Amino acid sequence: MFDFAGLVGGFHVALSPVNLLWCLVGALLGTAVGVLPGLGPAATIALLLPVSLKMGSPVTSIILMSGIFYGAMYGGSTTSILLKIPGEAASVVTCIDGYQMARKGRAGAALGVAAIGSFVAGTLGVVGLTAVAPPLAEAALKFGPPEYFSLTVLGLLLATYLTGASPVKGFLMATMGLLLGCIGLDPISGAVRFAFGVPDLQSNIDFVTVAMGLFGVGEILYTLDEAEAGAILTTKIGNVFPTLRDLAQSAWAMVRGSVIGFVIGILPGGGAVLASLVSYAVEKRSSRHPEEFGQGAIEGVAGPESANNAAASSSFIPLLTLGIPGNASTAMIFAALLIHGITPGPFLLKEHGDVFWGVVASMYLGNVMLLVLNLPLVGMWVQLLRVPYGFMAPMIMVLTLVGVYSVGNSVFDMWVMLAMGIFGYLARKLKFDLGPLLLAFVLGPIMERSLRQALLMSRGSGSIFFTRPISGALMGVAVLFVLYNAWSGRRRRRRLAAAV
Amino acid sequence: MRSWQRLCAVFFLLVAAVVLQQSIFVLRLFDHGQPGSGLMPFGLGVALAALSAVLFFQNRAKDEQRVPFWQPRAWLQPLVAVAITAVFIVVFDDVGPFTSVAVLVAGWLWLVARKRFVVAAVTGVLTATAVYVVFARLLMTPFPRGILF
Amino acid sequence: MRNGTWTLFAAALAALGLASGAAAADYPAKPIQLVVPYSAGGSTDLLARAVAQVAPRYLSQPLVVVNKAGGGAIPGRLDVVRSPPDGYTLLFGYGSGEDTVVPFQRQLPYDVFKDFESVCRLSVHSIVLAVPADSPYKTLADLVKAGKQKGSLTAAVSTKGASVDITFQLFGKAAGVQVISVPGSGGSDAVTRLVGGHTDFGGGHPSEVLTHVKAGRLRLLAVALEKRDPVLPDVPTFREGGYDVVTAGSVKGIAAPKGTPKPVVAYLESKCKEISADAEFQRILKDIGQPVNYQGADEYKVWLKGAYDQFGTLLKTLNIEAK
Repeated sequence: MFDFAGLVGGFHVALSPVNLLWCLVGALLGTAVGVLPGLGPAATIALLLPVSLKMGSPVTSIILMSGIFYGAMYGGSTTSILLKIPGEAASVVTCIDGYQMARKGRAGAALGVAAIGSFVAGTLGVVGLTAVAPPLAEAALKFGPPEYFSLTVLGLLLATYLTGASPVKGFLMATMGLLLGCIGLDPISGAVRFAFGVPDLQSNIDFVTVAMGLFGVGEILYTLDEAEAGAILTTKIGNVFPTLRDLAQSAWAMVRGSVIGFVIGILPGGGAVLASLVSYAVEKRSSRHPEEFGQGAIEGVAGPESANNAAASSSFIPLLTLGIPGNASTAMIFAALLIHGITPGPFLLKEHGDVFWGVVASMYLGNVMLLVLNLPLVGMWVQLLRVPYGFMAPMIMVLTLVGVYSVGNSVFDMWVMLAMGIFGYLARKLKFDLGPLLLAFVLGPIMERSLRQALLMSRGSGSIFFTRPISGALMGVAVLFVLYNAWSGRRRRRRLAAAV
Repeated sequence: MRSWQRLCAVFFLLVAAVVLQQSIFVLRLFDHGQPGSGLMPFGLGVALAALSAVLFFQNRAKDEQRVPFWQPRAWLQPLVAVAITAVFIVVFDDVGPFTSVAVLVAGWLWLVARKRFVVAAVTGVLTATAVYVVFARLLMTPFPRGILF
Repeated sequence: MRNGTWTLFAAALAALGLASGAAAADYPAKPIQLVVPYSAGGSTDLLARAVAQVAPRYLSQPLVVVNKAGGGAIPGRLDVVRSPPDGYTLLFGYGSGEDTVVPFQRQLPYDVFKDFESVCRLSVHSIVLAVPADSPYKTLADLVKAGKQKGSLTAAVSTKGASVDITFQLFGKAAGVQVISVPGSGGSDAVTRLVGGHTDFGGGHPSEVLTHVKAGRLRLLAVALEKRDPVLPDVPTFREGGYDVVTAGSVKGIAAPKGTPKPVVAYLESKCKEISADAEFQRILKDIGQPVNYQGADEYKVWLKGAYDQFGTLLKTLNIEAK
């Protein structure tokens, strides 16, 4: 399966000066885009599509676009750690421990571990791509609506239990998140829900608006609240880079995260978010100090960051081998390939092997470049933290406001973001955890759509979720997970009661 | 804290009520035997109501802390920040990105962060320029036409 | 002094008048936005980008594709309706299901025919019925037989009530089999589900299924046209199989907001004609599986109204409810 000759040929193509240059440009642009709130990689790729189409070689344009895609992943983790603003859904989990580490003066370690973890994941991802791409892609096709439903249910349970303290509050937030996701068009029948006559609400609320509002604006308001001042940033900034001990601690998390991310990331639509959630769960369970999670555990950054980067690599698999794009960015790359006259799919390898291997090799190079770019940048970001918060706060506010406007060109979005910010601030004050809300908001529409599709397929019978092997297995895991948490919760309470 | 928690529970209960009303009377619960657009919201509304009830009656020792809310030190600065932002959003379409950003940053620095007026004004203009250059020129974001730019 | 002021005033007025007249004569003086109310990578978006790719040969200003997806493609259209009718904001994708079918199902904030000026039609996509390659159905008759035995068949469709959904419902009625449409988030999602074998059959537009047919994952059983589609010469029509199923399919055209000056519309129409005859344009469209069917502004308006009426009748016969 491992076509060494092909890969070598690919490197030959990827290392040409033109391709190297555009790889660098893509990586730089992508990082910038990932850091700037609002603009996402898909939108940037769309902006540059006409430019890339004028480049003679299709390989070059794909290299540019994938560079942007990866760069955005790296950049997105930067804002998650420094500002608690997730660049995209897959970075939400990084916000949890990453931001806590930053507050404790360990921003450098967090950023460094995120960059290194992403590099490890990207490398392993490329290896995986060359070795097991086609059979894994076939397996991904077997995931139909029932499987997606079970998977998102599991993901929701993971999000609710693992990211907060009180299950009741967690479930409340998750339910609110699910309801927020219902605003707009019903995914199946197209009926308008909860718009209350406001035309801007007739289309679903954008993730960026909600994420930046809840996490970004909410955090700013919370920090301004002087009564909560006790919990704010220490001014001491620790090591700028991760120590050897940090690296040793996160090594296994990176490897595990990479594998998890690679496997789950193949699933079109939502793979990266689920991957980061599962990785977080696995790390928490396998850690010797699970109580650190949520307060700044380095594995809680290393694992999910590796997972979402590995998922980014493997999201190319359905595109290149089956011709099915898994997310908005790969959809744009799909469009570019088609216009160049190259049809992605099983014949891509046979008819345009040089394109396939060129792209794969450049992914590897892109990862190296991003690592080389980002590690020194860590020092720069950490210096940025020295800017007094008094100045930073309005800047961040402006960035998020303009960013959200640039997504939908709508002033209404800014109002929604502000409202979310107020809600997020109040929730934090009253000790509600926002992670489950945001994750439920992302997973909810997928869950509902899959549920109703599955029921249509089964002509109304609910047994379909349990009789199909993959779905049944996932449901089983979900049930076990709930039971385990209920039991350990009761055990904890009994222990507390006994101690009193 | 208990009273705040109960207040939250009431809030969620109200939301649940609205959701349930919409899903039963406005949306369809079932559509020819299949789940309709109202079924999922209905289920969520029921879940929300149930969870609010649990929250209302819950008595967790760990959460018995005072929530500092009614001291002006707590809510004053966030409120001013929200007000300034609201002003920004209201005038954005009319005065354009440059002026509104400058006003937001300057106003914030002056009123919330309590910097000197000159410092606030200069920073405001600088930030507005940077934003204009990056978003309007480099990224070609379509902005509304404003007073200055 | 007063005389002087009046002269100045008159001169200013004249200058303004000249300026606006000059502006019209100078069209296009800045880039033209092609608003695509669908997400990037979809069939409409691809067509728009193909047009933008070839346009520099015929237009002095670039065509910029702007995606405004979401909300059932309605907010994107609304944006164009509300934009100034100066010819710099155009709707790309005029004539799709949202314009021919959705008006019967939902109250729209605009009128498809009154609020838009038709500029040209670029492409008409037929609708094909496909099954997974490893399914036992080799012909339409096989499918119908299985459907009668099982009682019902599931079909993967793009969105509920779209032209694909209606075509399959029509087929079900003609064949006497209950067709359960399983909608999703769009054409690409529907095809993926079909390739994975999660429904009995499915389909969509040729551009959406062609890659999979070439790869041997899907088999095409029928096409809903009066005559065979030139892009798919081996696929029989529904009529050949004995079922009278013909629908207008998905149409892709360009429209300008109501009130756009006639010279601007005529200019755009002529450019469209030139682009559709361009060799590179035709090569790209062939690669992405979309046929080139140019039609000028006035003919398109008439044709579209006809398609709209046809869908209206179909919806009534199929008892697909209007919301």
